[in-house]
Amino acid sequence: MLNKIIETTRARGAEAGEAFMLESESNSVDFENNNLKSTNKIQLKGVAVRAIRNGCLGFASSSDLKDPERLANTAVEVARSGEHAELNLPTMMEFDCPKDMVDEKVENTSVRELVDTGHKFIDKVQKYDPEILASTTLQTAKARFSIANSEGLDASYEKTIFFAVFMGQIIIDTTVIYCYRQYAGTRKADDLEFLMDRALEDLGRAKQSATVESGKTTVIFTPRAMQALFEFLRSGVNGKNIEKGISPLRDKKCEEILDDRITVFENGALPGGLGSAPFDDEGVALKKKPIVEGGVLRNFITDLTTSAKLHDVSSGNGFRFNSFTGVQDYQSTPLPKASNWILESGDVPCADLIGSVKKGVLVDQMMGLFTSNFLAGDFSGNLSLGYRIKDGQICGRIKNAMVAGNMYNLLKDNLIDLSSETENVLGEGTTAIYPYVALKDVMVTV
Amino acid sequence: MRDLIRSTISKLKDKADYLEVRIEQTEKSTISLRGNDLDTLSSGAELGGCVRALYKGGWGFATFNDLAEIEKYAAAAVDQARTIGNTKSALADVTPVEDEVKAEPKKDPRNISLDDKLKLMKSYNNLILKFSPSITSSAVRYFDRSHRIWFGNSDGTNIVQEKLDIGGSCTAIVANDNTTQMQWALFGSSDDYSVAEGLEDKLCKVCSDAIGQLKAPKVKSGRYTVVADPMLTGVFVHEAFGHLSEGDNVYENEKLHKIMALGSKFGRDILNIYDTGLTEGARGFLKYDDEGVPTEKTYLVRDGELVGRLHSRETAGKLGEKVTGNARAISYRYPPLCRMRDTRVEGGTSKLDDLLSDVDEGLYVVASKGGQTAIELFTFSAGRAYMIRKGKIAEMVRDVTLSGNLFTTLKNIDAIADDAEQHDGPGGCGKGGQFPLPVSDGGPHIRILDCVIGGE
Repeated sequence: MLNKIIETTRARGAEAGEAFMLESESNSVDFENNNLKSTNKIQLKGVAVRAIRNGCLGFASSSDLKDPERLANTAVEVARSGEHAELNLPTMMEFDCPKDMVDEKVENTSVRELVDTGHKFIDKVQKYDPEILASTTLQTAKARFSIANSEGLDASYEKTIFFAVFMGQIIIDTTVIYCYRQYAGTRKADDLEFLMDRALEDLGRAKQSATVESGKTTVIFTPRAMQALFEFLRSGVNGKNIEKGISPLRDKKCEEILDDRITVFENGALPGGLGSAPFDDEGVALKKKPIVEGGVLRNFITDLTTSAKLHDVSSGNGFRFNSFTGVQDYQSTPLPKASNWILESGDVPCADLIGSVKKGVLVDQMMGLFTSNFLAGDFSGNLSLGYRIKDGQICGRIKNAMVAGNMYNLLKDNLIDLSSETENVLGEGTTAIYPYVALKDVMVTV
Repeated sequence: MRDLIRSTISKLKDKADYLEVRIEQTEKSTISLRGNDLDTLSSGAELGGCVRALYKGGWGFATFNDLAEIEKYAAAAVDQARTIGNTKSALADVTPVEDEVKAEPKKDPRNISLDDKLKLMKSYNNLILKFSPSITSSAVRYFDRSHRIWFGNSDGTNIVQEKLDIGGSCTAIVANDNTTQMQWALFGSSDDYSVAEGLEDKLCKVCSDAIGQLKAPKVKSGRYTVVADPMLTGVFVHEAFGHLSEGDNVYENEKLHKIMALGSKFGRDILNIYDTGLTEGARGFLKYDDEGVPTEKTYLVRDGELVGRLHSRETAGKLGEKVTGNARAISYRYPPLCRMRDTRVEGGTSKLDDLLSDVDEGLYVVASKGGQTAIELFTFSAGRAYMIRKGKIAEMVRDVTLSGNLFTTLKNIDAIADDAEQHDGPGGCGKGGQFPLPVSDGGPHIRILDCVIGGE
């Protein structure tokens, strides 16, 4: 189908054409409020076409595939109003496939098994504390990505996806506490019980409430919190923001921008990584690259169009995704987006990191972080779940305090340490691995 | 399509307590300009369907693009429900409806070429970029969608709806070494392309405000009395109260249900809040929700007391309350959840000047960049803000974010002005991975005591 579509675009006067198809099937089960609520089946198939006609770009997508010619025609028609296309479509290459993209174990997981796992979690929670309302979603999926273009590219790959989230809600007076742990990757998770136990542990710690005073204090951010905060860097190195001149990092390649203990890799070839693939959504190979190395800025994240504007080659980060949720979406035009993201760990065991804090806060969940000036690194979030640290011990939960600061400043001048342990938290459709990060003098307002 | 739905349901309805089928056909256009570049110019089409089956309290849901296989997916949904259901189904009763709803646009976006829409957006983009050398960049966005939705269920409801959704924003971006600031104009409608036209004067003000924000100092964090403008009031009521009113928060949650007992005092006597599907032309306008239930104006708070919730048939059924028509799905790819429509604080009797005059030092906060809520906690950031000094609006401050505990904050609304407005923008509401759902909101100026403001 894809090659026929490209032929049609050429027949309609386009000098170049590209067709991209996403097909996927998935099964999931949902438990809510301690009950098995629903099982869901998803079948999805859609195609997106880019056509370049008289040097101008048009884009069209459809999941109504009875008439693929119509889709091709629409793309060429849109190109009439389009603007000059900067990109050059890539040719066929040899692609390396990351390890474990298709896990038989995921394909062989039945809905029954997902249901049994869910029941296991519910039972565990009820035994631990019948006041807790447990919810879980477990999902298996298999997707096929295909791309072809008029330069001879014709490639496809498959991947399996396994997803699990375990959540508990507890209400104390009028305070609602959620704790959750999740996993997503191409491989079947091998220790879901570990995640279940961690979620319960978090809830246990949150039962007691604590208060803190307003002021600057030591804050340890959990891996989940760090993933949210690192939006500052993902946006900062995003080729679109670079080439539009609005990123503060635009002239800072090879400069030290953060503490020299900070190293960040972006890795689309990570074995088992949720965002792993042999090539991006434009047919450019994915590879592992440093974003920041020892505090020094190394690479930007680009797609074909932005790299052309920056007079460089694409970094293999052209993805089609829903700009609100970060989830894969063939209906979106390709934009630069980070694949799997890894902040390298430090030397200090987490227990010692917390143990050496006389007075501080462990921050886990925040809300409304970057509605403000995120490109400059400013953040200001409402703490939906944190914990008070006193004399090296976690002693109660904190909610409803504002935590604010500037990530560039904090990670340059205020870094105490990074933990030696890391956790695999979910990014936006990618794997994201972070340690715990301790920072001094972070503003907390109650 | 109607026949396809009818036949699919008739073949399977005896195997389920409830069965529904929804098929959607959508056409959409998207334009996005950033700085000097046309980032996105696209045309999209969608065709797909979904089936939901309920059996002994268990739901089976299937969504598919392959309509030729609809019976296979419907059977799968029914099988799934039968496999997991083991309690009792409880759906509130509704009278079956047969209806055909046509969109009656004042100015139909389908009659305007993509080229003309692009020309209009480009003109706004150029206006922003040429306004002043202080303007660093711009972002202009436009979309429109037209949907044809066929819905049928085992009660005999059979509805065809034609719906339009139009929206966009024009943003001026200014930056210096210390900060980047943005101000914007928003538009949205379910029946009128002309909301996208004639924005030139508004954009000039947007540009001046953005430049003003750049020079403004950061707000000092702390607790303030806040006077919120109608746009911010709308976002506030949506985030801080609307989500909590969604029936699925409480219908299987005893503790939260107790906290949200009807009749409980949530605010002072002056506070009235409602959510309505009846605002014609608003993005949140809805004749029938996605379970085929007719929508209405639903009071949530009256004279400070909790009087209502936003229900789906199941949440209403389980709580023994009446349906309200709030079951909405963002597309055929998802099952409906309890969602908002057009959420408002009702206008009061005070004047804006009265709200301001009692404030010795406070904040006047205008519009919002958006917000988030986690049951009893909310947070959002202001579009822009000014200090209030000795009863008057004074100097601009920037980077104002508001947050708090919903219960305390609602009770701290101590004055409500009489100047209620309704707003639409291009954004939407997010819940359960379904984002952005078209919603509207609004209200008058309100005064909130003791608000936590984050900042430097």
